[in-house]
Amino acid sequence: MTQRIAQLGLVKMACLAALACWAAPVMAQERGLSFGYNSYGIPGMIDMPTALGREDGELGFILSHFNNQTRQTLTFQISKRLSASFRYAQLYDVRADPGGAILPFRFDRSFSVQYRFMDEGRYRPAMAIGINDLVGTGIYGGEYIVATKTLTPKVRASLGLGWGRLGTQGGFTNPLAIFGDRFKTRTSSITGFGGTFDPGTWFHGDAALFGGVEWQATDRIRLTAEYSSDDYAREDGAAFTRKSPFNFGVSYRYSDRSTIDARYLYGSELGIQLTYALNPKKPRFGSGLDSAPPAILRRDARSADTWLDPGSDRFAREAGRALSREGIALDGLSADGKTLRIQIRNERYGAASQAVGRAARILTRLAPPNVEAFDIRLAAEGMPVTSVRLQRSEIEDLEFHPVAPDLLRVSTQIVDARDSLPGVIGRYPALTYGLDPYISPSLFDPDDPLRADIGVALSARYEPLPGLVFSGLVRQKLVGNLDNSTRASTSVLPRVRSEAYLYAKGGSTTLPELTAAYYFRPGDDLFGRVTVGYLETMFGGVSTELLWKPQNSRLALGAEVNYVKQRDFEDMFGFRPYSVLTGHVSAYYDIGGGYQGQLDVGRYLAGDAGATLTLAREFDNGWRIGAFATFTNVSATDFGEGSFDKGIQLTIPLDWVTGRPSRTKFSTVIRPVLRDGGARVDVSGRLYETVRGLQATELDATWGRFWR
Amino acid sequence: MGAVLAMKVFVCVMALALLAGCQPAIQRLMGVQPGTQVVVPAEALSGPQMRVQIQSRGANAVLSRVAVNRDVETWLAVDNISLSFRQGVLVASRGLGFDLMAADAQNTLDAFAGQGAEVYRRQMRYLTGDNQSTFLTAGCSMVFVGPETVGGQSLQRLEERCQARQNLFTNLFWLDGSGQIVQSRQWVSPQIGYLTASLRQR
Repeated sequence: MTQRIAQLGLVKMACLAALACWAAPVMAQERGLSFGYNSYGIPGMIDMPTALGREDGELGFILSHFNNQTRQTLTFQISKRLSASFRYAQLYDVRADPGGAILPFRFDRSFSVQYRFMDEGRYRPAMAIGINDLVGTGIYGGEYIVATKTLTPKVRASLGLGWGRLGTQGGFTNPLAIFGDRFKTRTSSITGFGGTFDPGTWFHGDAALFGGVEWQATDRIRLTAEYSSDDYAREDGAAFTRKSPFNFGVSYRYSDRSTIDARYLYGSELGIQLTYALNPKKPRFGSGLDSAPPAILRRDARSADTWLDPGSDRFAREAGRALSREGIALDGLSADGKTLRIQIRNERYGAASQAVGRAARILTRLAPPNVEAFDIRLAAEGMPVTSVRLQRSEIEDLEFHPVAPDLLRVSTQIVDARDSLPGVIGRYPALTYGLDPYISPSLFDPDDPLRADIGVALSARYEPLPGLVFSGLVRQKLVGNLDNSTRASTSVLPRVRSEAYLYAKGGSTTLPELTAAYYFRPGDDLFGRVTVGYLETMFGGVSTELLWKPQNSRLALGAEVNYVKQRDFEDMFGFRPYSVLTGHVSAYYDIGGGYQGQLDVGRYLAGDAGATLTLAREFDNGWRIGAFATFTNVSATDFGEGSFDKGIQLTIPLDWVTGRPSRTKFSTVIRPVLRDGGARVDVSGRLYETVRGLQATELDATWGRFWR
Repeated sequence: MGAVLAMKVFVCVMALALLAGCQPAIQRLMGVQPGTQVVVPAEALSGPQMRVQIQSRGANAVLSRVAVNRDVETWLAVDNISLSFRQGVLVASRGLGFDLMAADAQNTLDAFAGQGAEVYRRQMRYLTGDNQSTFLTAGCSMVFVGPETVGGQSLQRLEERCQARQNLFTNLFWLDGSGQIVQSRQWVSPQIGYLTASLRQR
C-alpha cells in the first residue's frame, strides 16, 4: 500500500517538475492577497484557512501529500471575495467515522467554498467564512469563520473558529447554541452515496479555535506555524500517529506560478505540497505573438489607374488570396459603387474582431478609391451571422491613433446579417480533412483514478452547398487502458452513460461521429440546425435546434428536440434497442462582468425530466470556468453514487498557451462520477456556441483586437 | 504497473504541458499551422533599411519599409515583427507579444522643435492578455544634450525623460542637421523595455 502511494506521489511530482521548466521569474505579490494555499487547496496556511483570497480569476492546482493521505485540488477564485474548490483525495488506513473500523482505503471527492465578507481595515481584520464539504461524503466535513490581520507587510496572523472536522481539537460547546440547542450536536453525515446538500449539519456540534502566523521572509521564502483544530480522529492511530496540534511549514516560490511547500505535521509526519497557480488574465505572451497585420494603404497613396474592378473575377481571386494568407476564407463578395461587401469565415483568430480588422486592412489595399464603406459579413457553418459596416476613411486615419478602437467603433455599425452574399467561384463544394492525435481520459474510477486512451483521429468535412455539412471522425486507439475497467454498471435507470466502458472494450477503431447537418437562418435573429446520423459515441439519430439570439442581447433562447437510439458497443454502425425522445428549452443569459448563466429544462437521455443550471465565468480571451448541476425526477437512491449529476467545465484556448493565433480550444468536463440520470446527447455544432462569438456582444468585448 | 505508471506520467505531463506553455511541441502535436510569412515586397527590399535591436527579446534584425500612412512609416522584419514610426518616433509595434498598439507623438515632435510645454504628456495604448485596451499616460520632458559623433556623423543628442506610473524611462534620439532622427533608443512597453533603431544609409 505504501509503495503505491509513493508511486502516485512520484507521478505527481514528475508532473509538477515538468511544469516548473516553463516557469517564469517571480514577481512581487500584491497586497491583500493570501500568501498561498493550504493542504486542502484553500487559500490558507498549512491545514488551516486564512481570510484573504487569491488574485481574482486565479486557477490553482494543488497537490498535497503526507503519510497515507493525498489531496488534489482545483481551486478557482470566482471573484475577489469568493473562491470554490473541487478536491479528490486518496486516504489509506482511515476510519469512516471517528472510533469506527479502519478501512484499507477511501477515495473522496468534495466541493468547498470560501467567501470573504469583510475586507481588512487599518485596525479591522479581513474575515471569511467557508464550508469544506458542500456535497460530498462528509469525510472532510468542516466549516469555519476566520480572521486575518496584516501585522507588518510581511507578517500576518490568523485566528479562526472551526466546526465539524475543524472543531475536534480542544473542542467546546458550540457558541451558536445560544440560537438553540440543536446547534449542540452534529449528526454524522457520511452517507453511502454522498452528493446530498446537508446544511442541517453545517456549523453544528462542538467548535474549536485555530490560528497561526505567516512570515514572508523573502520574496521566495515563507515560514508558517499554526495550531490546528483538527484532531484527525479518523486517521490517528491508523494512517499515522498524531502527537501535537502544531504544524510548521516552509514555502518556496519557485516562480510566478509554481510553489513548493515542506511541512512538519502533528509532531510526527513530513508533508509536501506542490502548487501551480495561473491567472487566465495573464498569458505568458501578453496579447499574443500574432504576426504583423497587412499595412493599411491610403487611397491617395496609389495611382488611380492601377485599381482592379471589384466586379471582376480577378478582384475576387486577389482578395481571396490576400485574405487566405491571414487565415480568413472568402465566401462571398458584392460591390455596389460606394460599398464593398465581403462574406468571410474566420479560421485563425480566437477573437473574430481580429479577423474583421485584418479583412478591413486588406480591403484598403484592394478596393478602388470610390469605395467609401466596407461591409464585412461574418459567417459560420455556411450561415451569415453578423454584418460589420466600416467607414474606409476612418480606418485610414485611425491606424496609429491612441484611442483608435473607441473612435472607430463610433462610426461602425454591427447588425444581424440574415442573407448570404453572392458566392465566389470555387467556394463550393469544399472538402477538408485532418489527422490529429487525441487523448480520451477517464477520471476517478476507484480501481484506477486515472485512465486514458491515446490515438489518432482522422476527420473529414464536405460542404456541397452553403449550410450543408457532411462530417465524419474515425479514431484509432494506439495505447490506453480505458478497456481495463471491470466495474459493471449497477444502474437501475436505462444505462445511457454508465456503460461507456463497454464501448472502449468494443474495439480500438471507433466512429465517434458521422453526420449530415444543415444550418440555416429561418428569420431575423433566428438560427436553425438539423443533424442526422451517428451523433456521438453512444447515440445516433436526429437532432434539431432553433435559437433566438439577437445582436447586443443579454438573453438568448433555444429549443432542441432529438430522437436518438443507443449505439451498439461493438458494431460501429449498429444500434441497441433503447431509443428515446429527448430535448430541452434553454435560456442563456449574460449576467455581466464576465459571468454567464444557462438554464435548460427538458427530458434527458434516460427519459428523466428536470433542469440543468450552469454558471460560468468567461474571460475575453476565451477561457471559461463553469459549474453545472442537473436535478431530475430520478431519486438520489435510483441515481446512485453522487445523488445527482454535476460537474465542472473548463475551456482553455490554445492561443493562450502558445501565443500563436488559433481558434482551437480545449474543453473538458470534470464530473465526480458519471451516471445515467440527467444525461444529454453530446451533439456537435450547437448553435449558441457557433454564433455568439461572431455577434456584437463578443466583437465589442474584444474590439481592441481589431487593430492587432 | 510500470506501463500504467508511464502512461499516467505521460498523460499528466501532456495535460499540464498544455497549460504551461510548451509551445513548439504542442504545435507539432496539434497540427497547428504556424502563421504564414508576411511577404516583403521586392521594392521594399531595395528601399531604405533600419537596424533594430531589442535586448529583452535577444532580437537583432534589419527591417524594410513596407508602408507609409501620411507621416507614419511601417517597417517589417522577415519574422513578421513590424514597427511604426511617426517622423522617427515609435508609435506602434506588432508581433512582440506585449505590443505597443498605438501612441501619440505630436508633443515629442513639438519638443524636438523647441516648442510646446516644458512637461508634456504622451499616451500609449496596449492590449491586455484578456483583450482589453489599456492605456499608459507618461509625463515627459525633453533635454538637449548636445552634439555627439556617431559613426563619423555629427549628430544632436536629445533625451526624453518620462514617467508613466511606476515605469521610468528615457528615450534617446540622435538627429542629423536636417532634424531627421537617424538613431534612437525608445521604450516599447513595461515587458519589452527598450528597442534601439538606426537608419542604414544605402
